[in-house]
Amino acid sequence: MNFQPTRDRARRLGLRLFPRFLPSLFPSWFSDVMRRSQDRPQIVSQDFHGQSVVFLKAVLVMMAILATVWAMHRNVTSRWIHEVPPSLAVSCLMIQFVLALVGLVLSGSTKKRDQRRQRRAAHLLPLIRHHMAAYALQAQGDAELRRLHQRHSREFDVCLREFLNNASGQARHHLSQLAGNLGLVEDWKHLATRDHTARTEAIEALSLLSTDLGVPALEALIEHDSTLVRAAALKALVNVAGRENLPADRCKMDLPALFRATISSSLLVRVLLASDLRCHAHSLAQNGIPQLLLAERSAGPLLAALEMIECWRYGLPIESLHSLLHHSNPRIRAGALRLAPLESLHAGSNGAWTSQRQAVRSNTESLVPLVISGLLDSDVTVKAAALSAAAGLNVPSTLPLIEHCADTADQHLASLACLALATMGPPGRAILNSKIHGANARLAASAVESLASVQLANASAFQA
Amino acid sequence: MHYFSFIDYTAIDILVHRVYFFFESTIIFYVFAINLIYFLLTVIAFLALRKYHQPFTTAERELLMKSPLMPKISLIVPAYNEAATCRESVGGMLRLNYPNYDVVVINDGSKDKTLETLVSEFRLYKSSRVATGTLTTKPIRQIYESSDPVRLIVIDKVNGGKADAINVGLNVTTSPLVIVVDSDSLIERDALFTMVKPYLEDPDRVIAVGGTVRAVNDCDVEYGLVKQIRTSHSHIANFQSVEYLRAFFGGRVGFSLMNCLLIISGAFGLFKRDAVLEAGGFEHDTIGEDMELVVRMHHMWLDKNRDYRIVYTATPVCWTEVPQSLKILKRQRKRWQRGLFESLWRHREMFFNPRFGIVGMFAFPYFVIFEMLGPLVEMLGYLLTILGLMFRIIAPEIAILFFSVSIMFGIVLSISGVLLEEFTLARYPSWRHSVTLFISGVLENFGFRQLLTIWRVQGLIDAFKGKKGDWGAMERRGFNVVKKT
Repeated sequence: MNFQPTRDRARRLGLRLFPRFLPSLFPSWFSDVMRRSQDRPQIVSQDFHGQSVVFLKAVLVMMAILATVWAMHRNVTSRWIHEVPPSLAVSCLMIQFVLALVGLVLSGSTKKRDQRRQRRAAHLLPLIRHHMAAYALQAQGDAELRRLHQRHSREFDVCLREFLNNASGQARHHLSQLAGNLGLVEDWKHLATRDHTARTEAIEALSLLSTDLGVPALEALIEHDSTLVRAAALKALVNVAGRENLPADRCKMDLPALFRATISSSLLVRVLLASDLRCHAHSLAQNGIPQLLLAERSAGPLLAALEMIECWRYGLPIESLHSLLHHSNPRIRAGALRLAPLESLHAGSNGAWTSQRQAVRSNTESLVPLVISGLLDSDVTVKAAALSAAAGLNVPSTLPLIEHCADTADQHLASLACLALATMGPPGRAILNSKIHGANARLAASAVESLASVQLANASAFQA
Repeated sequence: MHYFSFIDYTAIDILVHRVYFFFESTIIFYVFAINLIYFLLTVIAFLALRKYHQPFTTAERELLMKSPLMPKISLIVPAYNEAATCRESVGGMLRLNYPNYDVVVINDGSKDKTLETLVSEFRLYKSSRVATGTLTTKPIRQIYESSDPVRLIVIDKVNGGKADAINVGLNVTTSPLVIVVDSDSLIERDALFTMVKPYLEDPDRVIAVGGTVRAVNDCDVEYGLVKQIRTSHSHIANFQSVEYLRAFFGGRVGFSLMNCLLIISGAFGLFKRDAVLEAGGFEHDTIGEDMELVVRMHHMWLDKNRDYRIVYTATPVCWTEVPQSLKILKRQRKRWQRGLFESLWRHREMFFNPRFGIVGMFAFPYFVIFEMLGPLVEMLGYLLTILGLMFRIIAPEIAILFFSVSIMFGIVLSISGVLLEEFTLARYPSWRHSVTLFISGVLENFGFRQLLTIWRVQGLIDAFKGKKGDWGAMERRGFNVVKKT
């Protein structure tokens, strides 16, 4: 039987408990409440389970405290305070006071324990490292290490993760087996600690184990309720997928699947994985991204994919991008337009410098009509993206349109247009100079500011 | 002394006793209820902080620092007569760890040299930037800007109050996220990462995030950043440190978990700019504009049946100078109580209204019954006990019991706040500071708390009278700046 609390069930229960005469007394209020509760989006928080557990625990703690208060009132305080309210209050106070005292003692002892652990680690780590190195080199058996693990599991765990991170080949395989035999892999899989740093290290350690052990555990962690754990698991899987060519039967998630999982996740996951996925940008551009761009219907993942490609700053040959420039959603059109300058840079990895240059030029020419259509778009976001694309491509034929944008009433767009003109070399700067002497004071100021900022940027680049 | 023979004085006596004990019992149950709710919130806070308090690792922070995907943040800093501290605090704000942010200081017609100090210290030029937002504000005189990598924008405007200054900042900036910071506050170096974390985790639903505010008095400050955390030499400042810990860790974590957080401190809060513009910006007419905005956002979003989250996050810390003189403290507390009343009164429609879910049925009534009327009930309790003693309605032992119970409840709650800090964030490095805080947690209940109660009642009376607010300027001692070698 499914006992998962759902909004529907709660509502049904609420309706059953709701007195029948109330709707007739307050008809408008009742119908309003019901309509709103039905209209409300049925979104259950991602961490609904976790939050429920916290509340349940808190309620249990409170019930235990109240029961103790009641017991104390009945058996102790009511004997010398005969009034019920003060007796209850004094009982409650005494229990809380004891709890606060226990907390104080615990707080002090925790600080002491941490200090003791630090001292012990400084003494033990070199010893464990010594034995572990000998074991990795197969110069000694695991008896001593087992003994050390039994006595000092915390320090042992730290050392083994350190070694797995640095060892390779046979030594890593050997250490993986040791981790499996000592039950550490199980601890890592279940993330037995609340400390996020230790959790991340455990996930990294899982990715360093031989794939039979590590990959299934990592795949399970993708569903974890903590975003940071999910991100760490995805990151570890990306690293595994990049390092080893895994057969499909051993690894359910290949690189395109990981990319898809990333862009369907929250912004935090995307930010944390962007640089790891960037290492596989070229292979993803051939297999993964084009299919995704063509197949994806919802705007969220599409936008996330475009943002991700933009932040890679790679010239990638993605034909399917062109179809997105005619997408009905202006934000997607803008996202695709912002990629245009990067797309133009793709010139193939082979061939002489001159032929690569030629390729870039032809790419640029093919993109010009798209940028022009962007500049003529009615949406401001698309226009702004087209302005930055035009500046990046540096196409003189777009200059009149950019100048037109500079003359618009929208100040934000006008300043973007000025900046684009300032980056487009002498023809753009000439237009800006004419604006400086024009009648529009605000545009003149914007022109001066754009010229100065481009000059500053050039100077700092030259210095660098 | 029975003057009239036709009156049954025994019956009157019994009636008086009954009425008296009814009130006294009600007050004791009230104190009992508030104590239990606080304690439940503290337990929730403890469990939630242990579960959800996950600061970024060093590697993750480096990735965030390098990522162009991080959303742009504008720090909006309203300033009025802040020449003494603005150099240090704005300098600190420009040195934060975050890849994509700018600082927007709004000089709200200061009468001192705030603007001149900022322009000369940060070498600002007159900018062509214009306001693109839709909020109605007092006119802008001039916008200044720096050409540094982390841009500083200073807006000089006609005086219009703190809310108006923030609204001008919202109009000028184009960043999707804004953090409202007091100009006399110092932000921790990594605070923006932790502040933006709830938004990064759920960008579609999170519309506001509250951070933690702590007392900076007597901490060492270097280059606008808190270098050494310590308790103050002033007892009044330490009492407030404990009070802040109790308020932030005890209450807000629990409310945030239930998505019914009604207060995000005006000294340090992150908002989605679009959401604030949609809500109509900060309200000019109210003194507690920070709370009013958050309550209004709840009101509007629930009214439109939209899914949203307003959360509190414990890690990002903003250090602020708390008043060390009773005169300033009195003014501040009266203002806060007035702000609370105004915010709740404006949105009284939400009170025990099931249409507004847990906000209407729990958070709002909690704030009305316990936060707004709390001081009134506490004072009534003291008065009744004194009157009872004077007219010999109650025995002295009962009066002593009442006072000691009330004081001990306060002590337990203060210690719980300090303990929460010790078990979760543990910012105070030395055990000496922890002990000082514990002692302050005990001592504040002997006189200081009662004083606050009186001031809060006065604030409530001011609110009933309809007294209008001002900027609430505070005499600055300045930060404890470490000598630069």
